[in-house]
Amino acid sequence: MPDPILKVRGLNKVFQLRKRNALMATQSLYAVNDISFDLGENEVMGVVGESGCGKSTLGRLILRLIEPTSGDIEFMGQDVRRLSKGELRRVRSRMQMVFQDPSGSLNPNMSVGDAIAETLRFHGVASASERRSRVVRMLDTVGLSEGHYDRLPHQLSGGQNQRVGIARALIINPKLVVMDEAVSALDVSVQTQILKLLEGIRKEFPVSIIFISHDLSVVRRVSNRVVVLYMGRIMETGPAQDIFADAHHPYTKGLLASHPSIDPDAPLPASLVLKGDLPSALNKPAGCPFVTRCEKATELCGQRIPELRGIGSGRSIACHNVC
Amino acid sequence: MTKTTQGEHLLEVRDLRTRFNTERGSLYAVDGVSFTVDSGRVLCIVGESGSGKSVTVRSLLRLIDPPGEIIGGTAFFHGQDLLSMSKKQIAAVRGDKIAMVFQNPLTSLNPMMTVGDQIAESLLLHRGVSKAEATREAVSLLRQVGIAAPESRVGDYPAQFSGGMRQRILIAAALACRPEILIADEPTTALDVSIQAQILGLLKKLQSEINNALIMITHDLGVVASIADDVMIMYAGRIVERAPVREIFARPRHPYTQGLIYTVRALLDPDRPLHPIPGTPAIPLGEKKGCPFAPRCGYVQEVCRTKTPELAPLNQDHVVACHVLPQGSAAHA
Repeated sequence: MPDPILKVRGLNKVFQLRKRNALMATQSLYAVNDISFDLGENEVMGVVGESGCGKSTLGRLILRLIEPTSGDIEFMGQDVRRLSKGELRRVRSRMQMVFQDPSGSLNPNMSVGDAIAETLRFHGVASASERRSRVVRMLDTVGLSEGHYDRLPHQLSGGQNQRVGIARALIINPKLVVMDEAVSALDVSVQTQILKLLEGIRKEFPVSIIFISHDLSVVRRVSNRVVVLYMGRIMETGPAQDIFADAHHPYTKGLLASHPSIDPDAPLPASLVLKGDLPSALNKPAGCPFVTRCEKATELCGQRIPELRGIGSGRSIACHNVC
Repeated sequence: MTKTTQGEHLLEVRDLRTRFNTERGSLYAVDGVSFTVDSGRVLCIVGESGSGKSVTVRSLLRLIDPPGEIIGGTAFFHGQDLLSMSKKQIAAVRGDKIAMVFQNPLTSLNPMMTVGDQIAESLLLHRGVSKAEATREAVSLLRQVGIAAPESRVGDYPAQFSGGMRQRILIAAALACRPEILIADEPTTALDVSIQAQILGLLKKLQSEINNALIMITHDLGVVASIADDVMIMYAGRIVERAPVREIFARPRHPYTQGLIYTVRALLDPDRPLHPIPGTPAIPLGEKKGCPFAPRCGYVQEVCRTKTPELAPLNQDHVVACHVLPQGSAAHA
């Protein structure tokens, strides 16, 4: 296997919550716990999980938009955590992000063409005419036209603004793009257009993507590999096809079973649907984070955190009870 | 839709029209919508943003504020027209015979009021029961929607519950007066998928116990498949297709419905190519002629651009508004 483009080892992020009064003890929120993975060149890694599972925090940590508490991030052979500001800026030109809210992440007073060109200017493309011609070409790539260059975000639809967001991320030929719920706010007909666009772009641009989403069917469609997060930990990971066809971890199974099918004759399998709520991330449980909702839980599960271990065929699982 | 003739439905909506007067002109959010609702059935209203699905049900309860106004239609419920009755009369229906659950459980509850008081509110208002009786009933409703130890939780405030629990509480509040029609507007959209599955199961169970009518608004065809008896697809303020749930998934006849169903199937099957519906959802601004879906339709013909198709029955239960009525191409099979 060729060298991975991104190596993450033992990544942790603990948020210290502000005390609301002098008598309160400081509380720690364990957002991301001991996460390790490799991302290959041109690979699309889907990250799925429910709200609060740490998937957005993970994306931001990788781009160093927030500082990790501990752990290592190596991007194209460089230790991202040890880079100076100037070096980080250079590395950032190779890693980009696409956000959920397409119009909210654009400056309302700047034309969308200028917003895309801004990325080029920031990363040192000096000539205005070169910037303009590259932006026009990129608008075409994402299914817009030169006529859209001078429009403001509010003059475009949500889907068109998300095309702008993708254009802005791709314009400097990044090696890695983190997409955080990039199609979640869009209507299903528009969502499919953007997914189709991504499929086309992947043929044209060699780029690795971390695709963060709560939507299992979208993740299944775009990903080569899937990471299932729960309470900031990886529960299961492996090739997307295999995970969706035959999940091993009780949480992945419950998550998949909860996803309504579009067959009216296939009712929700009540026995597999996850019971209860997500526990609070404030108090780190001693054992497996899923222990409070798991029907297979044993005494050991409440005492020791299961390690993520390989089970062959590129799959790994963190569970005491599944071999 | 059961085999009943006119006048036998629980609710009969005819030619509902709701308009918003905006800076950019008149927006016909609901543009001539007719449908019926029956006891013991779950009707899902499906559409993308701006299709008019929420405005339709809000119009029925007269929850439309200026610049919006209901400009036409009737909605007969027990022989009375909801759209023309006095404000006092509709206020007596709302929360009692017809109740509503909104999308966002985080903002739909009053943070300063205990959940018990919020559930008891409609009982005190509509049923004139004593405070003690209302609280007793609130405890029993909390139990019914799956809140553990309801006796000790009835005095808690919304912030002490999770998002999924708050949606259960809203459902309990809506069910307090045993409404004949429960309207749920995207009740699971803001929830995680595992919590969504719990809430869908709960709604279905309660609906079959009470045997009332449930009108559920959603954009999610997975939700439709798991809960609906009847499905109504809306586009640009109009109904484009209505059929029982199995029929609509097996034999969709409107090109828009076909596109939506194909899209969701393709998402679930990585071997199928994606065939997105081109363009963006239409905004029903100003007077227009022709089918609102024509600019995005792969089957469009000359007549589609000049004449608006009316809903016409294919068979007893299945109505479609389309001049072409494609069987579905190979791509949309």
